[in-house]
Amino acid sequence: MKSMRKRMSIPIRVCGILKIMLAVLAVLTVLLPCLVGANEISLSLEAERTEISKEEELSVQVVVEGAQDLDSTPVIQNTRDVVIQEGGTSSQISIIGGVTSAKKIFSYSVFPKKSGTITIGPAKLEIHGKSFVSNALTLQVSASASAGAAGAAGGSAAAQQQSDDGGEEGGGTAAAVTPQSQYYVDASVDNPRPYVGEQIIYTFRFYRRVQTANGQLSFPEFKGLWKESLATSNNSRDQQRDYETTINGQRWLVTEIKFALFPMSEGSLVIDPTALLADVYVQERRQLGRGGGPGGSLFGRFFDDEDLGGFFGRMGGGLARLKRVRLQTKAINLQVRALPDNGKPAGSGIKFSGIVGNAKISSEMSKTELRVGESTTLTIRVTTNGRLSELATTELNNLAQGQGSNFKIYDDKPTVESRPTAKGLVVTKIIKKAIVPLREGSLEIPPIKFYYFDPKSETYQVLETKKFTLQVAAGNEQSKYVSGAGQHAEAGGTASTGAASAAGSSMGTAAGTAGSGGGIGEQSSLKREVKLLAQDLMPIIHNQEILKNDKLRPLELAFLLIVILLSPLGYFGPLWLRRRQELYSGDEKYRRKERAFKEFKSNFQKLSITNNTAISPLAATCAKLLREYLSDKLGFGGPGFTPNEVVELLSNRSSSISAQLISEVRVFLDYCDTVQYGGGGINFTLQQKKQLKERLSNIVRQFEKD
Amino acid sequence: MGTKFHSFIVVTIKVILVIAFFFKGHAFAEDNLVQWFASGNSAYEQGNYQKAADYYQKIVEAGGISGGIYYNLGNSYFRLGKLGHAIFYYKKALMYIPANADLRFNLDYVSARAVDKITENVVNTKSLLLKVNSWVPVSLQQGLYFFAALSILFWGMLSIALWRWSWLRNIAYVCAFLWVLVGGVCALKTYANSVDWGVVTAKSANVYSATGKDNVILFTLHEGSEFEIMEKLRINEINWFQIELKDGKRGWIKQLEVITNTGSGY
Repeated sequence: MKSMRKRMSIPIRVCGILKIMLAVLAVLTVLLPCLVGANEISLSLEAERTEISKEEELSVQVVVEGAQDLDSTPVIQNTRDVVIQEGGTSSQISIIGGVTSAKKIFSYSVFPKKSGTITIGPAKLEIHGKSFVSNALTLQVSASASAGAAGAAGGSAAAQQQSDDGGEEGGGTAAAVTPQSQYYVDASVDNPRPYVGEQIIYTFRFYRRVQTANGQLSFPEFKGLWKESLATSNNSRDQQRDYETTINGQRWLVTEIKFALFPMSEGSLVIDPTALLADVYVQERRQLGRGGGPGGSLFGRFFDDEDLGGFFGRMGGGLARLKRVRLQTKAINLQVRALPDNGKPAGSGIKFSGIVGNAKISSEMSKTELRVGESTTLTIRVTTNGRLSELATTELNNLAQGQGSNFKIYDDKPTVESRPTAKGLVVTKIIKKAIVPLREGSLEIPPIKFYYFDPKSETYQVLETKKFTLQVAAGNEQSKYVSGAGQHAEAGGTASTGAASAAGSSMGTAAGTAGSGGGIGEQSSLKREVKLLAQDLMPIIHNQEILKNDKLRPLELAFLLIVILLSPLGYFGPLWLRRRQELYSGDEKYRRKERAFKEFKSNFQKLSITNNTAISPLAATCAKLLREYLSDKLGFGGPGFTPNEVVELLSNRSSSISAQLISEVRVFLDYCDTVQYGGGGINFTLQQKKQLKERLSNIVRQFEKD
Repeated sequence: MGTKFHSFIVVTIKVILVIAFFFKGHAFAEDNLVQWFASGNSAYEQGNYQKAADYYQKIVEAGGISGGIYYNLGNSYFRLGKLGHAIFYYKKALMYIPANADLRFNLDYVSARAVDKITENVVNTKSLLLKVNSWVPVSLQQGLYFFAALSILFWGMLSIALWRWSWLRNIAYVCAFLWVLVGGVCALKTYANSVDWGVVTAKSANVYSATGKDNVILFTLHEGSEFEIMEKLRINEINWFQIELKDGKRGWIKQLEVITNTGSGY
């Protein structure tokens, strides 16, 4: 029992102590900033170390001593040789020997951009209008990390990798970085001396032999270059390709991202470095041997489910720690060559298409035998690894111009399909033209020709479509007319081959039948339905009327509800009036009964009493009012009855009238008669006169009640 | 008598002032709406569909809720390639202007582009009511106005028939029949508008068996698929909806992947 008590009392004591501690803490929290504010302020720039490798992260802190409530953040100057990322703030308050001091620390992650001796800082800070300057930091940056040289030295990774599809082109560019650590990045282009408009492939690769996470990639702007993604979809996973490769007998995991680039102008171009920020697991203590020792087996099991699990299992291992690194490729220099003037097409002959690269062309005609007014479709497909923006086939349309032209030609909207392949971007442009012959006979569609530049042979080549000959049969006047109308109708828009064809042929058939003397029924049976060329949305509404609010507003809803709820009154009100009217008009007694009290009340209110009021007329009026009320209320023949008659009538009339009330009526009427006929000489006080009136009122109220 | 007349005049003036103030504010708001509407239409005609959608959204946010604006929003989003948003706004417009033929055409046209084919094979009272509702070309607002007008007509004619033209009573009975019919339509519309629904806006969205850790992907919906919302939950800062498709499939979907019409309903 005692032990139980002890056990119970301990938590209670602890709670009490905690409460006191919390109170003290709260007081300190409030008071300390005030105490601290009086101290001197100093600013310092501190780093965890001053010797680092180029790809390592360095933690740098700006320490503000003597101030906690800051209205601005420090600015580190002289940062052109480093990349700085903000890492948060922390505050410290300490009391040593009764002296309170405060410290605010701003943390940063610093990544050197180059090796050698670099200086960052000083940091500047403005506190309450006063500027403070810190010291500067000098850093010794070595070229590569010392973190576990895995012996993968030398050799271009790009040149030695074993790609999954085996289709990699070495490129031989100046962008490869010699791998000396367990992770590095590399960027290259397949051709450092392209022609203007020629496609080159930019490849970024991240090589690693350790586990990594949280990668953030920053690509350069690619100034002076047109960039196209080589991803198979918009999904970010499809942007990159992961594979394993062997370099100098060691296996590396590689993540690769590619872009197609097109130089826009000649001259020297620089592709800025691509930077990667990532967390890597580095081994603190390595144990050689194939998975031997406790460390090795532990590491192997830890990464069993990861991509590199087996790999590290075989390597052996040690304790791993997470390290944030910034890796950066080298800049790539491009010498963009202008297209050679030798052989360059000029003048009004065959035009240059603007294509620089491999190109091929195909063409087909949907039908070559048709009637005047019908249409056929010419489809041209141009496929290239160059750019197609300047390609146009307008020269064919010249055939359709002028009075004596044999054709009418309508351009459909060209479509462009881009297809990423292992060798880069392949673009296909599909051009469609609806051609309507205007004359019968054998009509020729000449080939369409244009030049492109082939960078491999460094010569201008000609692309040429096939020549087509159309066999056009005679149409008739109607088809000509309709053909012309169709042209006018479609002049402002895009032609649709199928529809034009259908329309033309139907017209021709119908007209032919009519010409051979067929009847109306025969003609109509030969008619065809008008085919719908395309469907699209109905247009937007321009009428401002739609701005009227369609949603019921509360006031509107209230109004409607009131109308709905009150409209029955429009019927029941008149109905009540009607009934009342009917009752009154058919039954005078009833009318009198209903109005008895109202009339009594009206007359009673007119009865004014003063000191000078004579008692006889007053008594007579009171008796008259009561008789009239009773006559109306109870349906007596008239008000001329004696008190005895009243008692008799009341007793016979209704059993609901109490004997006391009847007695009161009789006494009151007797009293009134007495005063009226015999009490002229008696002096009544004002009070007595009022009492008389009051008695009358009470009697009538009692009747109404009963 | 004089005092009563005086107070009547004072109250009348006050009412007129309040109404004038209300309409003045309304007119001011309408000026802005007209300007945004014109800018939105102009942007749409120039092919700047995002800008057009932004202007129409501004009108909606300013309280200019109308079927026509939702219709124009649907057009803008379809032109932007946002199929889910387009279907959503057309369906919203349908609540206000169900008789608009262009709207029904556009909704059919856009819905045909949705990837998922969801066949209605569950017949219950709810689905029947919603089906009937989709056939009624009258909005709730119009229905209530009809209902109020028929109410006045019915009671008014009965009232007149009390005094003269007793044949009006027969017409009043016809009005009573219509009155009941329109009342039913209003009730149906109110019910249909209270049903929470949504449309998938993500290119594809997984529907899970539950919101927990070990749930299973039951099926995948694609942009433009419509669904009814049965329940809402917020777990670990993520809003989840339990949805039901017309074919009876049920599951949980994340709010981020859908656009919904919940709460206020109409």
